[in-house]
Amino acid sequence: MAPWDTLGIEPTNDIRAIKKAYSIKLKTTRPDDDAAAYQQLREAYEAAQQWVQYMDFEEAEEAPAPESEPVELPPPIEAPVAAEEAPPELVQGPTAERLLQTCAAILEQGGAQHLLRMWPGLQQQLEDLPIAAQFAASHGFAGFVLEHSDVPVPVLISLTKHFQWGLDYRASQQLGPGLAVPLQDKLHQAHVYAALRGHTEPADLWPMALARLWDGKRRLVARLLALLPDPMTRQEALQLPAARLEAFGLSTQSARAAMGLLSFGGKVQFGLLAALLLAAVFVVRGLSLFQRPGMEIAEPGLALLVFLGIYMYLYLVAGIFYPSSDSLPRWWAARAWRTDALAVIPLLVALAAYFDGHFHWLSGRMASENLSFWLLPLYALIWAVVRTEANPWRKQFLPVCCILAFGLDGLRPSLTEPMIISLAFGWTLVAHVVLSRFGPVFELVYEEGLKLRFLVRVPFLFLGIKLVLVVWAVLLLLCLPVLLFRMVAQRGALYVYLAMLAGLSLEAAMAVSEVPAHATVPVWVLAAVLVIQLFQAGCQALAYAGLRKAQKVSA
Amino acid sequence: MYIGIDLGTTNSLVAVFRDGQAHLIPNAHGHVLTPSAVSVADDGTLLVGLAARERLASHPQQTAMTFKRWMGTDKLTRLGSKDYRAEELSAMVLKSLKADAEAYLGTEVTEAVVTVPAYFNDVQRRATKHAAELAGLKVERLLNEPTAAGLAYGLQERQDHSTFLVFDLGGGTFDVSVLEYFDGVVEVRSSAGDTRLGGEDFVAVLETLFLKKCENFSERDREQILASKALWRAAEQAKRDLTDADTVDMRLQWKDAAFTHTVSRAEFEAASDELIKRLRRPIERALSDARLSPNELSEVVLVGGASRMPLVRQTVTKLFQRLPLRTINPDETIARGAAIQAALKARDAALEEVVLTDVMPYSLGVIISEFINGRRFGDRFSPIIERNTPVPVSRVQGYNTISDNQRQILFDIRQGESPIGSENMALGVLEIDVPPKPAGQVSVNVRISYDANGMLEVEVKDERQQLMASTIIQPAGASMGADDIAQALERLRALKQHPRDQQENIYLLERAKRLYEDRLGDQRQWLQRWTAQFEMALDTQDAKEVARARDEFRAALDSLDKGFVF
Repeated sequence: MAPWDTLGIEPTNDIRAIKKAYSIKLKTTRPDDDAAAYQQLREAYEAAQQWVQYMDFEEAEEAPAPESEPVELPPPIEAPVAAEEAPPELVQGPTAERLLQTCAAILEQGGAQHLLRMWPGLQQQLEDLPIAAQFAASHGFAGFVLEHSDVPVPVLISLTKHFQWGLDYRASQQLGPGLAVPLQDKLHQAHVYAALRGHTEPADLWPMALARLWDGKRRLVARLLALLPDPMTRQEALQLPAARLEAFGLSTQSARAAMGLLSFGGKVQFGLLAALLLAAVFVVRGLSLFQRPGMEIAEPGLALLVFLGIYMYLYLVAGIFYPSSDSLPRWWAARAWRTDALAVIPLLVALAAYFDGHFHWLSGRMASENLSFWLLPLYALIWAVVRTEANPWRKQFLPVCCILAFGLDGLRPSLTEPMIISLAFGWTLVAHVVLSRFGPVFELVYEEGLKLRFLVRVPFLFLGIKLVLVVWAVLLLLCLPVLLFRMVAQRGALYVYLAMLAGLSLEAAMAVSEVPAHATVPVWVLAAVLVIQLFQAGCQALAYAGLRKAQKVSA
Repeated sequence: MYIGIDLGTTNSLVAVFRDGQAHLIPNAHGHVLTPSAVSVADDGTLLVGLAARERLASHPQQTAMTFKRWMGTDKLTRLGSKDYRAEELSAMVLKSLKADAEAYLGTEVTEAVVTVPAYFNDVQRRATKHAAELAGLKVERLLNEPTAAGLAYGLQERQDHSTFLVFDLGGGTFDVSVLEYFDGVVEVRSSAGDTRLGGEDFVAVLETLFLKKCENFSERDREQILASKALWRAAEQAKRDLTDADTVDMRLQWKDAAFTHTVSRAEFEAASDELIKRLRRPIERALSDARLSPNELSEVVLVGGASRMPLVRQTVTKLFQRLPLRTINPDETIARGAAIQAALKARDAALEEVVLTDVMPYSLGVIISEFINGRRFGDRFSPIIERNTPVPVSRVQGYNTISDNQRQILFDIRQGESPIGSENMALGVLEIDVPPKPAGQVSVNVRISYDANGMLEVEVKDERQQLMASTIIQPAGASMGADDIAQALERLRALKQHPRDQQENIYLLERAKRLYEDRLGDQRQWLQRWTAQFEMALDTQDAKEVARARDEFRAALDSLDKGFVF
């Protein structure tokens, strides 16, 4: 039904006639009596009012409108009371135009810093403006902000707060789309929104913290601290626009210093990681050396390494540390298959364990002793379950399977590589459960610590743990290929070399002598392997020397 | 018979519509204002109004005031040996108002219209209804305070067509409403406000100001003084005096020592700056929601006792750049409006041509998750009914599932304006089962209905318009259940109340007691003599004698204490 029928009148532009008709109808359709009928009447009334507005607009369009710039200031609001009869109570306050002129003059003569110093007084005047002048003031200041690129961010923030430019509807209401859109773009650029709403993110905190330390002449601490953020946060922090940092009260200079520190820290961190990788080769070799004379105690330790490694690998790569999928990195979450790919990792490990246990290539034990035989279907099940999004226990599945594996393998009479892996998963479970329960607490302590400027103490604690985990992650990355290469070690010399390259134990190295002669290898590969072999031989020689010395001492 | 009640933070009123006009009903003391104060004596007798307020300083442990601020919360106030909720304390005041109305009208009163601040949320409104229920009043309709003021004002002026803004700064709450009056229709265009801003905040400013000047108090002393309300009366008096005077002396009697300090108006105004700043935003919002500029208003109407303060009037003048701030007896307007609404409800013949339409001041909606640029954002607020929509109203909005094989949808219904869902006030939760399908392929429609009585109903229907779930929102927690109400009724019944004709005597005795504690030396002896004389007259039980003695006693007390009554 058209609104006019509901109101019972002919279409008209006369707002009084519409109100009259509405009031007559309303007296028979009281809101208390018939809610549905009232709502219909009300909608008709509003539609009719909109119609009138639209018609007025059309007429105004058709009429030759005076030329006007969109950013031009509306005329200053005149006080409705004539001057001679103005009673003493009604003091003429500052007008929007005068205030705006003052601001522009200050900015042009004294620059941004001067405006910033003068701002408290000007802000008071802004707050004293009559409400009727609010639109004019909002309009004027929007133009001012757009014209002058050097308006200091604190001023921008206080203007945004005062005029509520941050709210879309307020901005478009006050300014119209012509001005609201570029203005909001500018605000957006400055990320003032986020700053205003008090949402700081770890990425914001790093530059702030570093800049504060740098400015406070604690440069060594700042340099050390710059090594700590994880690659993703670092990347985000480096991409922050300078305006956002200014919004948090950092000067351009300190912001630049902080960014420099961060990118320097990234390079050093990368170098350190590479060095750690190298060191890890030594560690693993060393471990297998000492294991040789029958010191199997090293294996549970190795299991611990592996577990932490797996955990850190998952954490770093997939953000599994966080229980919700919302916190997965964007590039990761965009591709569902990557989540699936994650689930393949335990499968691959299980596969390796299975083959090793079943064919006892390396362990030399009976298959019947290897309960890890059962792990293959188990992990296959994990994989199947994990990949369905709808599965409500998706998050718990990985740990549950790990605990099963842990439990089953714990029954075995002796320690082998499959057991190492299983133990690793068992530990992974424990870590997962503990960290998923206390993880948010860690995060909280971390963030609050930064906010409260316990900057130096708490992150070191937290990131110290993190650093240890990263080391184990590297070791894990080494362990997985070890296992895989061992499987294929008997296929040819190349694989053996590659296995050694990956830091294989003596056990596998001994297999070199049993390699069939039919292996043919391209020359460049052999050359490359030779170089590495020499390097490794050197390492091994050193290790042997150490061992011999130790034996001599013990003898 | 319907009556209209203005249940205020500091003062309450009751009015009735008769012979085409709203009449205010006086209480036992012959005043139309009854202080919203309650006191329980050691023997379990209940005092309400003036007498209770006199006991504020002498028996702070047994006396409660400004409890309207705790409506809809779980806060308990200890009076004597028992804890009371804000609803129960309000019920005591309502009961006394009801008794006044019954004495005045000579009939039993069971139904009333009670006013609440426009910006009261659903829980607070429900609490007010419970309070009325406890007082034995049936309240079908809660009326917004600025709406009531606008109703009274609109009908009093009876102009052809006017749009006006009601600025209602009461004892504890601040509301702004834009109303339009045409052809007998009183239409609320928009409401906005602040439920934690009112005259009492200015009193608190004066209290802190005074304590700041007393250097020899320790931090603990200050806290005790503020908690014991020993300074409240002096601060309230100072606030009133500063309306006319430039400086005022505040006096505090604390642990057998008297402290006096002078507070100037300039100091007071500087200290109230933060409060004054909070007046601006609601005005702006109400105007912008009504799509009006201040120049289009034909009037700015000031109501509420705190709007008498020069500081507030200056601010409003400055903000609107106009003087004619029409004030129509700021204390009484709301009660008159409530009486008119009560008459409308009863279909009084004199008001046949009048219709009132109101709006809902808050947005209502649900919490949703959505994908933006491939990233999932949770905890977003999706409003279904926008604020300042005329009530009664019923609106529908469709929602889809967000995960594959999703089996349930949870609708968390919220009230408020924050874009972050969880920052808004929780009203209730509706959980429905849906068939497992790929994400986005299951859609449901949510309908929220809000009737004129403020009852909220939520309905969920599937694509084929089949009803899946519906509920009438009953917020848990901060509201009273049926058992609680029964218990509270029992507790209230246990309180004895003095007969109406003795209330004046009790008030005078309490007042003398308060003055005695306040004064020193000769005045104390003088007060004791007067009290003894009056008590002797009471013992005679001769009505004539008592009346004569009462008048003398009152005159004597008045000569000593030139303070405010309201």
